[in-house]
Amino acid sequence: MSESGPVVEIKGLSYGYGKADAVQDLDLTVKPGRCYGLFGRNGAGKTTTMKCLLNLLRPKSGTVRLFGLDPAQNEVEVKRRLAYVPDYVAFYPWMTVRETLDYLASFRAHWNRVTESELLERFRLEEGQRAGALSKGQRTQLALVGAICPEPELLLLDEPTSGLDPIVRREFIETVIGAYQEGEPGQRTILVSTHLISEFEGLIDEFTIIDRGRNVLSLGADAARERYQKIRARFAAAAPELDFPDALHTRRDRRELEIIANGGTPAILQQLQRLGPESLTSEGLTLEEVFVATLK
Amino acid sequence: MTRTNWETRLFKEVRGLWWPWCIAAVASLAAIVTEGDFAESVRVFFLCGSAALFAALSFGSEFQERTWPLLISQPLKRSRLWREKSLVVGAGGALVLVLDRGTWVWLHWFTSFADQEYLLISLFLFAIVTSSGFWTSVTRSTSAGILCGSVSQVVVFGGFILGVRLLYKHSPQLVAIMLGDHKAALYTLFGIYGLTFVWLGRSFWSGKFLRLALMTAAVFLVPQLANFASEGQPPIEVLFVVAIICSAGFWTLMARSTIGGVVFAVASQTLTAMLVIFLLGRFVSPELTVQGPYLPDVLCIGAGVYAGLFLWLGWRRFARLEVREPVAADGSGVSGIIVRGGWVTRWLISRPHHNLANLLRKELRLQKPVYLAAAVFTACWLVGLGLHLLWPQQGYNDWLDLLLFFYIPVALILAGCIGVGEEKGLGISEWHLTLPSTSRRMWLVKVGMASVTGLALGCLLPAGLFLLEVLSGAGAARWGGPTREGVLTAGLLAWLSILVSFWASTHLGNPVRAFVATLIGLAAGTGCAQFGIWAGAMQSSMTGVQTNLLTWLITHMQWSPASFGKSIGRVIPFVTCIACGLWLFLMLRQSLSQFRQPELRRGVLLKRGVLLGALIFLYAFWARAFIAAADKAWEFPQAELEQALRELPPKGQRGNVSLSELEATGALSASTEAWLRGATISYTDVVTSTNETEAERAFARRYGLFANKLVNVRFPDGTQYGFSFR
Repeated sequence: MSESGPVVEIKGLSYGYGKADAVQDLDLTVKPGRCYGLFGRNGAGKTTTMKCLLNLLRPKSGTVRLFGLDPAQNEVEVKRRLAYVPDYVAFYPWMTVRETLDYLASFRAHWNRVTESELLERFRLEEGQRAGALSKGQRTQLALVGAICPEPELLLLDEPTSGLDPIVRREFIETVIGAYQEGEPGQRTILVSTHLISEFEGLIDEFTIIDRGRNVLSLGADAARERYQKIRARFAAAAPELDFPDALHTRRDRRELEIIANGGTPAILQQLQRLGPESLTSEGLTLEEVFVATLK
Repeated sequence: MTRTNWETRLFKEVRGLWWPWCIAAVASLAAIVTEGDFAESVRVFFLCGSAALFAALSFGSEFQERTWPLLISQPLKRSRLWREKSLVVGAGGALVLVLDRGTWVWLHWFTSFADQEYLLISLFLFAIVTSSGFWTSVTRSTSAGILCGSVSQVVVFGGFILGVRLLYKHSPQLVAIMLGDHKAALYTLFGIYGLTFVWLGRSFWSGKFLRLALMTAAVFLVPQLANFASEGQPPIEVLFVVAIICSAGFWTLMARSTIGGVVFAVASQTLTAMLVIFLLGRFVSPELTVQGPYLPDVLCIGAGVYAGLFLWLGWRRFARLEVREPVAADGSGVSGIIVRGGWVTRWLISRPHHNLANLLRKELRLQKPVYLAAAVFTACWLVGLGLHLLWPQQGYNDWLDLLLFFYIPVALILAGCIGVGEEKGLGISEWHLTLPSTSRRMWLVKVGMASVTGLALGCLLPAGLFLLEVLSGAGAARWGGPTREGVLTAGLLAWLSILVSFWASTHLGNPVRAFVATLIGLAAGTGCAQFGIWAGAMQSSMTGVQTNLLTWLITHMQWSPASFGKSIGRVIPFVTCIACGLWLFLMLRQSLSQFRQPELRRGVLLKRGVLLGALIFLYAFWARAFIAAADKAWEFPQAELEQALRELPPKGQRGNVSLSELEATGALSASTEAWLRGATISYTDVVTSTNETEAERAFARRYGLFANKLVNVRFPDGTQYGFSFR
């Protein structure tokens, strides 16, 4: 892979369970050092896409490349450079936390013991505790420790915050993930699939929204916030009925008018200004609002 | 059709037990086709094993699928859940026993069946049950319905018997067949009558078919059990099934695992039976022992008490059940060895380096259910051996065979499927594949560890225990000394069972499903081989093609039967080894491919299983046809030689014949001439009795009994071939 080449490259990916298509003709590219969000509703095809990346599913059509390599052909080379946290986390129930981490470490050339002890302390995980006795959230924490300690180039996280309590969730996202990327800026990439988008708001650089296996929207987070704007106008009399070609949704509530704009915000503002509103404001949407507006 | 809530819940229970129940049902019916002690033993193993499995699965599947919280949190009393589960398991077991005993009745119908009064009682009750639905819906009263049913039966059957006697009064033999010793017509009429009334009362029975099945089972089983008690020959499998149906629930809830439940249930009832009979015989009366006259009564009463006790214990256990495990495969109570200390177990702890060693350690620990089964089996065996040594005349060593016969296949199949199955059940397999090691390496470690554990605990452990038995002087004469071929064949079959089980586990979601699929697969594979052998023997055109080929080879290579036999003797094992190797390679390839892509795809298992079965069929078909062809390959050249010798002018009582003389008769084809080129042919005429009648001569000619010409052919390579003809 060349230094500037994409870490993840998916072209025309399709996969089906029986006759039902889970992913259809999906394109996706993740550049190194980015935190990339894969957003979608339940059953949209996020986990299937992740599994195709990991060679756990054989795509019906299309190509998948990680670090420029085919994961089916360069199995170990690819797996050596990534770590995966699945949506359903399970460990051998008879192993202790210590044994589990040692077991995972034995597959890695590098394992950061300092990070490991810091994370164990932060998550309050006891080394002697059996994995079978861990709660769902604690298992996710253990999986995250196991994924971060080898300091891989790519972190694949499939719904990583499900089951975590709010304190750990915030700590995980803001501190752990942030610290992981800052460890080697521009080199460590994260591909996170989730439908709890607000939690990753500050971290995501780019994202793709998929629905029923199809790519609905791929955009940079800043570009999205700039492009998707919520415009609010308040009039002295009843709000006029207007039709803007760039408006995704328009809501009239007596004297108030709310428009979700997909680009073309200055033109809309200009038009509204001409109608003499009492107040006129515009603000960028959060990624979650973009997600809702796109799939509504 | 809409189902009531109750029916929906029962349907869910039935679905979960369907496949093991089917194996038990097929094993019950298989008595029709099995011949010989070994086949009967295999049938009984399948019957008892699958009955144990479906009895344990009712509770065990809730652990596997982690559905206890969902089930128990529903607004239903636990007693009701217990009753519904017990009802389905009980009905399934009763139906299996009806099929088993029904098959027995069928087989003994026209031979030595001496219990017709019990069958008649059963059929009479069956007719009352089936007709009561119709009559109850007509009269709108249960008691009136039963009364009307009984009256209609008396009228129909009384009228039938009277009619037969009047109509066929001049054919007493026909009357005897219909109503006499065999009562064929009477039984048929009962069957038709019963089924007709089920159809007539279908609106009444709609939604109550399970109840109907239970009542049917009861009316057939109760008189049969009474018969066993009075005849003194209770079939062990019936008592085994009754006891295990009632006790498996308790043991499954104790072990929190299906496999653990089956192992403990089987061990518990075997140990209990051995110890109770021993203690009764020792301290109460010598007549209550294995060899004593009251064994049937002891077993029947004992099985009843045991079943009742464990049913109650099972309910107590269920009422107090706590859902503790956050994760479970077949039940974390059994899966994986927990390290508690000691250098041996400490060795099992994963280290931060050497991932191969860690993979091996992890696989060793995953095999815990096999160690558990081995430990329980060893304990039972040692108890049996101890009892035998204490009281040798009682023949406890027969129980040891029973244990062995149950344990070996269970250990082999379990060793094959537990490694992959447990990981899938725990939900680890996909995540584990993302660790940086090749999937082939992980797969090889799994196959290797499954094979080693299976062969060690499924073959070497029983062999060691048997050696112990022999050394203690308890079982020296029971089995003959092992031959090299026998040991090799047994070892290969054992390994094959492990690999089939491993293959099934890579295609299915948990070890119990893999276990059931392996049982079905092994039975189906044997069936394919049998069918192939049968078809190979029946099919003549395939034989014809191969016969011509072999005849061509014989004649052009100038083979004698001895050298031909030697060559064929080498060919068949060689080709068999190649074919088995290729078959195993294909199966393992399928397994590796599925292991790498663990997504369970519908129909893949069936498609691949059909392919493997078809290959078994084709090979068995070819091998049988080839053997038949090899037998026939001599007929053509030998027949030509016989014909040529017959057509020779008389030359004296003995002498040599040259090839040119034989060629002159014109009876030899070019290939036979090539066969005999350079060979020395000599003959001797045998003088037969002149007192033979024409009929005797014809008979002798037909069956080749008395030859009057002995022929010897010496081939250029020095081998000889002799035959005779008339």
